[in-house]
Amino acid sequence: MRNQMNRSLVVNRRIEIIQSYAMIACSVIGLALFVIYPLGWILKWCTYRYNGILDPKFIGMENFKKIFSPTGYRFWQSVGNTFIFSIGKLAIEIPLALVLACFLSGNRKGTSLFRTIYFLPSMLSVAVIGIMFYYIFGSYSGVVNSLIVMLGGSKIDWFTTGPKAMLVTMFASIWQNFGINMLFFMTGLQSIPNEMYEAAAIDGAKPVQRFFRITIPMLGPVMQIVIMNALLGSLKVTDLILSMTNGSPNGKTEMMMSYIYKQFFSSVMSGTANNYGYAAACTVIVAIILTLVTLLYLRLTRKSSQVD
Amino acid sequence: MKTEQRWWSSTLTYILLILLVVITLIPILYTISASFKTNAEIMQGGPNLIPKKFTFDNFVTAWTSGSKIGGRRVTFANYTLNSIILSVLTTVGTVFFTSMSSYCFQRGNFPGRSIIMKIFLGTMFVAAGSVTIFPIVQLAAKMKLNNLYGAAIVQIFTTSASNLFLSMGYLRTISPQIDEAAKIDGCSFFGIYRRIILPLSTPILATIALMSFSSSWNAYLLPMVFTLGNTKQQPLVVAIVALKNFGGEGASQYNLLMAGTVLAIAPMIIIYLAMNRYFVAGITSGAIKG
Repeated sequence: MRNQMNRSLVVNRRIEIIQSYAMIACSVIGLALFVIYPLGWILKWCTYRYNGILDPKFIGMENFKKIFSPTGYRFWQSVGNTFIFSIGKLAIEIPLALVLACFLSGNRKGTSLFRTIYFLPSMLSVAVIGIMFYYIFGSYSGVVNSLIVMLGGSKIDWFTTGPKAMLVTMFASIWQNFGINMLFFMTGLQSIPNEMYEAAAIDGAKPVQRFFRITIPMLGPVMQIVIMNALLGSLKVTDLILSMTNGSPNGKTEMMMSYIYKQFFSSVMSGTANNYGYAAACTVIVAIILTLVTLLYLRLTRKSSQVD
Repeated sequence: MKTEQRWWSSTLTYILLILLVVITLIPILYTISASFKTNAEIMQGGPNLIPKKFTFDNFVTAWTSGSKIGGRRVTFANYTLNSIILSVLTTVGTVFFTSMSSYCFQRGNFPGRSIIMKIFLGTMFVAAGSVTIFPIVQLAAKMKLNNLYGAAIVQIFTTSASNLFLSMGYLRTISPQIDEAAKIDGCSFFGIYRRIILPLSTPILATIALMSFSSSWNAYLLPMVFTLGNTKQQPLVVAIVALKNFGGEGASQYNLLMAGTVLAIAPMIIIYLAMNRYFVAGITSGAIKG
């Protein structure tokens, strides 16, 4: 009897294992094919001369040497642009989101309406936002220029000079993302006990003091995650650039990811020969840059996450 | 004195909040208004939000005769259908596979469970997305999957780790005693999932469904690359960017572009306004608690 029960337990256990493997098999295969295989592909081909037509040839570190030589100018320009874009937009987006979160956290009238509207742009396609802003900032018939003229100014060619085009891309990105970051901060603010503010108010602390002495330190850990997500997200910007400026004028708004995309798909985009090996090497450099930024960021903000 | 000061600061706050509402809504409202203007009026420009001559022709033209990119004419009815196919397939697949794998990782007890789980969560975080898209599409082409359906499959399996986190976190709140009871009653591992866990986790699966629907409806790069060889399969977002960038006659097709843009954003706005609470809950818990 006991033996029989044991056997049925063993059989049950075997069935459980088989069923588990069957249930995750598809996901594991999908992960291997579409996530792990591409990473391996990049690591392999970054050491080859490979254009899809001639036989691939192993060339060691040549692709990397090319990136670090004057020929790699365009790549480093896109890296520089990406950092200007990210730091510039986060310098406005994060404080704006934080201040709004504080405004909307009190029992102010209309809070949920404001929150709903501010978050709306986050629901829209990044590529479509690129098109919308391209239209709104159009030099001849754009709404922004029409408003400027109406207020007595003169029309501005937004997309013909680098700095202005960069400003428009930043503005579009802030416009899309401030709402979602505000939402994250509001979630964080809920965890700060109200008694702290009450005690501070009794001690005579002004709202500004309360903001810097209580809100900011108490939000530390949440802020660390939110800023890191926002930073990595902006360093990876692709769709916005491809749909709005496509890197123009003269590569002044080209970003790391859009540059690499164009290297891989250059034959489709402009009919020039592909250089997959070089593009793979650029990918490796970008991955290293992203890792370094993450590690450096975590190191610099270690203190702020240790509030508890 | 004190109340007067408070009144001032409160008024200033509201002015700032309302100004931001205006800035947030202007691009959306002007895009919608442009889609009801004649092409001549769009080209002429002007700050008026209300069209001088209200027309529905842009949508009719877009829907029935469409755009001509690379010599082929495809209607926006076709693009919209492609968007729906892509988003529905991605959503169904993501929910199905996410819920099964999170159940296996959270409740399962099989050799290699924790290492497989770590590989899943680890690689999904580093998956660089747009830069690995070339090897992905090359591989898909070898499997004859470089089409709309292939794009859906890839979207399902490269879904973000936050979905898995969300779902696993939710399963943790379902008491394991329920499983035990079912096990004693003779339910198998899969039986427990199908009869108990799956029905109990519908709230979180609904959130995941909403988020994967919106992200695949809004996706650009992946579906674009997968439909490069076949513009007939392009979803809306891909089609309107193509119309803007390579349209040729694109400059004179601003009205089509604006109508297409409205077709692409309107469903998202409607879904968001109808279910905004679920989105907010899903997005905040995925990012912060995950």
